[in-house]
Amino acid sequence: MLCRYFESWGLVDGLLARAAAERVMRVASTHPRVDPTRIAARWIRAMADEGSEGSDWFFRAPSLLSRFPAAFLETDVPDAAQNDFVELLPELSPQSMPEQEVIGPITHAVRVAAEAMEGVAAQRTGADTSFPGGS
Amino acid sequence: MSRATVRTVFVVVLPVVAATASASGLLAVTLGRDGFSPPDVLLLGTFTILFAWIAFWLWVALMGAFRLARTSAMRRALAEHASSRPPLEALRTAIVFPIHNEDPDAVFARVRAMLESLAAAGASAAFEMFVLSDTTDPDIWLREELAWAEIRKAPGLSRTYYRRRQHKFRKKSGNIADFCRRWGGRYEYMIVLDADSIMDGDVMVEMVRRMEAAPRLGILQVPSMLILRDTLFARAEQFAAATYGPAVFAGIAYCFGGSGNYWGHNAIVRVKPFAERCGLPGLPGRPPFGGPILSHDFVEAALMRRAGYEVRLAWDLTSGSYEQGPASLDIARERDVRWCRGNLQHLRLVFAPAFSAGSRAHFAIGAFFYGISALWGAYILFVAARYVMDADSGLPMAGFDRYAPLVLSAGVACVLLGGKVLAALLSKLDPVGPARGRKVAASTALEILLSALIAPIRMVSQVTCLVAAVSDTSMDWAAARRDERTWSLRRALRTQGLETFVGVVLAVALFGVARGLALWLAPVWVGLVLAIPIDALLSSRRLGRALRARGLLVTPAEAEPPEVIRRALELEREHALSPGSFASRFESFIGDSWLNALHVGLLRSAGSRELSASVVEPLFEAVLAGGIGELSKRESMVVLSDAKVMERLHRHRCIERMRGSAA
Repeated sequence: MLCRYFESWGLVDGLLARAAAERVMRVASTHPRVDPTRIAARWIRAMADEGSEGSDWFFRAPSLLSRFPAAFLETDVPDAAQNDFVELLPELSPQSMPEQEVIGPITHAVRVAAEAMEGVAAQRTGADTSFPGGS
Repeated sequence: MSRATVRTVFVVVLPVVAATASASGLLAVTLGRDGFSPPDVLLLGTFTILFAWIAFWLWVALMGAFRLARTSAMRRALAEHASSRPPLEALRTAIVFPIHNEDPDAVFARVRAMLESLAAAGASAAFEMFVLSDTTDPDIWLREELAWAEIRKAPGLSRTYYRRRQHKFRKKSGNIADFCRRWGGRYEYMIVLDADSIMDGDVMVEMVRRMEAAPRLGILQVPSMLILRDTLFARAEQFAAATYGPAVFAGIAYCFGGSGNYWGHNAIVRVKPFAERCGLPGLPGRPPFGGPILSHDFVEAALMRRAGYEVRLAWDLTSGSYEQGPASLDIARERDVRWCRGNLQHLRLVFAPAFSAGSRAHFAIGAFFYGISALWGAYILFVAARYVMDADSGLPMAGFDRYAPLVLSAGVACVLLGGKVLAALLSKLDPVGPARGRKVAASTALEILLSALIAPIRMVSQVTCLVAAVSDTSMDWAAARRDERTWSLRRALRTQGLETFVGVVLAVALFGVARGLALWLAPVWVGLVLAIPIDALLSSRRLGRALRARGLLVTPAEAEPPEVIRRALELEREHALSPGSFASRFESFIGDSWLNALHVGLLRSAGSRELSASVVEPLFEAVLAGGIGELSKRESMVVLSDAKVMERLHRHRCIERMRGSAA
């Protein structure tokens, strides 16, 4: 299964894929709870990640594995595997986008009238409170 | 009233009003010789509105032509100056490419050609490209991912991203709003494209420079030329856009200045004010005038203006921005149905408070564009009624037997055709020479002939669009169709049957009432009666190509294809994915570890959520038992949308293979 995995990632030479799979299994034997394919993925990423930005390693890896399989086998297999995924989009940089209000002329007129009436009412209330004893 | 509004009133409105008043006065004198009957009043009223409409567009084209001629030297100097400026380096612009069930080969060929064009302009570092997919077809989805991955593998093209939305909300405008909400803070500007758009790298750089030079510029719309169609219908439209378009764009830009419009694509937008002040509301009330805003671009432009930012049309960027037009009459009709519904909905915004006069004018013009066909139809009926009444009184066309009608007819013809002829004369079609000049003249004559043939068909078609828009409350906004399908009689009967029927009824009625009138109105009913053969003629790719081979209806972009278009076509041919079935493609996405990681990575990066076990488990079992072919499209989408299920399917496939190998 691991041989197939490496093949999918560009390591098409059967013998080298087997050698890579054996190395992964050796590491996996010390971490029985970890899925060996995750260790393989981590290894590929560690090899292809150098000098690449963001998710570039993901797209570089097949090319590197197919062109330089021996160099890949010379790199160390990471001894732990994180349960992460390939982030293929840039980091979020949120921007709020509230819905705007678009009202018709009648609604606008009603609002303006309501506001004017509220203003008058407030003035009256103000007048009443300023002369508490007035008639 | 602002200075620009006063200028527009004096330079645009007054001349149009004067010309309309003269023409209507002439008609009033002719009609009113024996007093005005009710049909006379209606005839005069419709004539006045129609004349004002065509006079407005003629005046716009004249002003634009004058502006083009006057500023050509200045534009050349500016272009030379632009080439000597330092390249853009800071990342400030996103290019957003919303797609929905498009052909992935064509879309990603355009994406790659634009990225290469930006690299050639030395501006790769300043732009990032986002393909924002709302695709609902499972096979197209997988093909999009494959095509995008091919681009990402290419050296130097890593600044391109693919995001598929799990929940489609408010279609294209919602797609772009989703982008703004997630990544809007990362960019100063975004260049919005349509699925069939393509822009030259130099033009995109120039757009950014103009935004940087004008901090109050909110949206800069670049006119786009129509390209890459072979049918006669589309070729005539492409030629018209390339020949008359620049003058009209220059005129529109002059009329509206900083209160211009946004057409939803091939435009650059300042992200912060767009996000903060242009979030589209739902309109109160019921469809067709209430509900979600269907045609978002005009409203976004109006909101941008309301926020105090300018919206301008870059009329002088006459090349480097392209899109595809509809290939045939029936596809144009489908587009009309969509636009008509959207534009009619804008009517209720014409008087909404706080919008600028320019924005109100755009809303009104957009809506009136679809009302104009109904007015033409009404005008023809009023002319017929007047003729019949005169015939009854023993004075057939009593009012039409003096010089005034001739002057009037000549005037209307000049107004209708003058703009086209002038724009053709002024068009900067290269290479300009005597032979080319003759070809342009012949092409213009051919385009005018085709327009005349199509006019009555589109009149009936647009009236039906109007009726459909007013009566349909479903608020469904169908996606644009971009294919060039082979013409078939069955489809033509379906799409042009009504037009033919109207033409036959009109012809029979006219001949029944008055032979003379029938002959007068022959240009109307002949086009309608022949709607089906005309449709066949216009849908012909062979005829379009034959005309092109003879140098007719050829646009500058065809005479000398820009590098970005040439490259896009080349890439589309080179990188076309193997046709393969959906089942085999799906199998590779669960069998191949890299492809599976790609798909799962894209799902998780986009934040897609896993579905409940009760939904996905039966589908998972069905795929294991009989393959993806056992599921419907909708069910396939569910499986593809769940990262966990896709991972499990992959693991299962690996174990199956391992067992197979061991056995």
